[in-house]
Amino acid sequence: MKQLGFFLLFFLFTSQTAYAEFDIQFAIDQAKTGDIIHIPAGRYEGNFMVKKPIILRGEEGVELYSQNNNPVLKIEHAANVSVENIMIRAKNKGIVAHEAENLELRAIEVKDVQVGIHIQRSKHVRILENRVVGNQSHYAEKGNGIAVFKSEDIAIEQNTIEQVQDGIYVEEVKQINVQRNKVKNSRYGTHFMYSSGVEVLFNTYLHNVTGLMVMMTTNLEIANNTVSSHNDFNSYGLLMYDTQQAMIRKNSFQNNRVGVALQKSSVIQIQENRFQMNQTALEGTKVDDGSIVNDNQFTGNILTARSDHQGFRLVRNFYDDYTGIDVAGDGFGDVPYVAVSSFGQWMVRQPVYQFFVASPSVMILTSLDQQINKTEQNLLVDNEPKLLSDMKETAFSINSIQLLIGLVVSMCGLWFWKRGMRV
Amino acid sequence: MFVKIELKQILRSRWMQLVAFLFTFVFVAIIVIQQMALPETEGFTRQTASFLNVLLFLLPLFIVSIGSMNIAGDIESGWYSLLKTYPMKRRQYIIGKYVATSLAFLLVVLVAFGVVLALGGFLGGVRLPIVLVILTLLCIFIFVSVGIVLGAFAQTKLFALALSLVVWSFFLLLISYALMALGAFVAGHVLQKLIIVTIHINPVEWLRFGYFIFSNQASVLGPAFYGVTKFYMSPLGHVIYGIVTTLWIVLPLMLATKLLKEDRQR
Repeated sequence: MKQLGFFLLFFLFTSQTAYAEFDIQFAIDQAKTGDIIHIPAGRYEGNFMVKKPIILRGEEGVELYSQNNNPVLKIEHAANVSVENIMIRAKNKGIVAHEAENLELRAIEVKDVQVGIHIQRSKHVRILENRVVGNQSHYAEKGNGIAVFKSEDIAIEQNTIEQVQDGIYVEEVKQINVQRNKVKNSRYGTHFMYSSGVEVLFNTYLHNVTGLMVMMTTNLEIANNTVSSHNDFNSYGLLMYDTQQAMIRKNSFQNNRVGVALQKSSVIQIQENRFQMNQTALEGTKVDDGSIVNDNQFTGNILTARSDHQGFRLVRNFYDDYTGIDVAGDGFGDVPYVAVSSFGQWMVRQPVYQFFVASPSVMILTSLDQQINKTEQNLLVDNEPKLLSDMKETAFSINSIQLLIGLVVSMCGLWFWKRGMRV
Repeated sequence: MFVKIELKQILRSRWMQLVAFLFTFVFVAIIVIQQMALPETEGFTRQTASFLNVLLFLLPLFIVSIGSMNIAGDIESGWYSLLKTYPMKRRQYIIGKYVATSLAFLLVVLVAFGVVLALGGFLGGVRLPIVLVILTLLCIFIFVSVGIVLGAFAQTKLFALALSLVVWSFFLLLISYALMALGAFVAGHVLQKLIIVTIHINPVEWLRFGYFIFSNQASVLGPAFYGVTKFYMSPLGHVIYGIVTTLWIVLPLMLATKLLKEDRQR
């Protein structure tokens, strides 16, 4: 039995490294244009370089690793390269592509790295179904999950990224599609800088410092994303700074410190989104008149909107704290909804006021505001507040254990009370 | 024995019974309405804010008014003078009052929480965060103490009621409004320091601050308070929080004993 155990252990050990003798770099160097290199299962140490149009395809259990600071896999000055199904561990960068064209990176797992995938000066790149997990250090000491610089026509789809600085970092990129990715526990879920032609669709951002950070970028579409639980001291669901021409629609912003913040931005349309249970749903400073917030659902937010003196336009949104009625029967409230509150405005000007957020004193102040500000006509006013929410009602259900506990506790309380009166 | 008699009197009081009903009704109504309107989620939401505000609004008001009138009523009716003829120290009287009033309000809260859980069961389950339960207990322990000192100072029921309302509004609203108004004239960092001082000298803010600290939601208070929240989230901070809370309970009771003693000397 003992011998059999040793044999199995030996077998397991050797099977892990059985094909590690396979020389990947030699195979790459020998390959002709368009060749497929099948990498056998095993662990391979090195810094591999691809400079020709080939396909690198790993069998199940292929791991490339490096113990120095150079990237594990570098793709340089190459077109039509494809890398699939491998695992990478690196001290610094996992994969670096420089001046690549028609590159596809698929089903790659990058772990314990500083930077997962780094693309620079490349065109027509597809990064699909990869998984990047960073290390446990502080955000300042981490690198990005997927970083793209000065490139064109990029697709980043169905990747899972966690514990990195920025899940997806994009700088000076034209035409990029970020779709169906999941980023969590990172600094920024996705971070755009100086880019244009951006599509961000069906992604999930959870528990990052900020879900989406967009800076100095133009021509964006951000749609159907779930942005939830960004609650740190400086957290935002989506923060847009100096951004022009953006359509933000059908997203769900839930349980964030601030759902969406617009700073110095213009021609922004925020449409058909769901803002639910955020501390502040919308915040705007220096937002131009061309921007509009329409047909959204605001439910359970502590503060619906706050802004500087410029404000922004609110049109046909649903607000769960709207108290007006619809005598005309057109589906819209007869009196305008005024989102402006003194406290919200103060908080924009003096951040220290945030201490009082949702405190008893502020709740009374806000109630008074709602009466006094009914005459407000310009700032954060929705003249056509929608009266019907399109949220589905939750199904009726009974939690019998809690019901029983509740009955026992309340009955005990009443019994003690009665007994106390007789003592 | 004294505690038993006091507890019986408080529980028999129509005031207390009305307060129990009112608190349970309002508390349950708000929690259940919020539960029906909003999905369950973690973090600081309008639901938890309502929860917290109901506690901070109603409980201190009821406790302080009933606690103070209880003592003032004893003095006014001569019951306290009668008790002094018994071999009972002033300290024992104050502690007896404190224990009896605390127990009575614990019963109120027990009933309210029970009804919330029971009705919540019909709605698929309602969350009753443990931090809020602990906060409720601290709220009772601190404000019963404050109520007793106010009663000892007031000496008549009417004055005790008026004083309770003033102190309650001062703690709950006026200090905050004063600070907000001050913010229009002073720099942000000055206001921040004033708020930190206020946290320690206002039991309502102290409890509210405690909620954010112990529920790991200190970020709600904003980046300006990163330093102070980080400190209070450390083990040493927890100890300091415990010490300050104890002081908020003990000091008013000591002051109440002193006030009764001075009254006798007068």
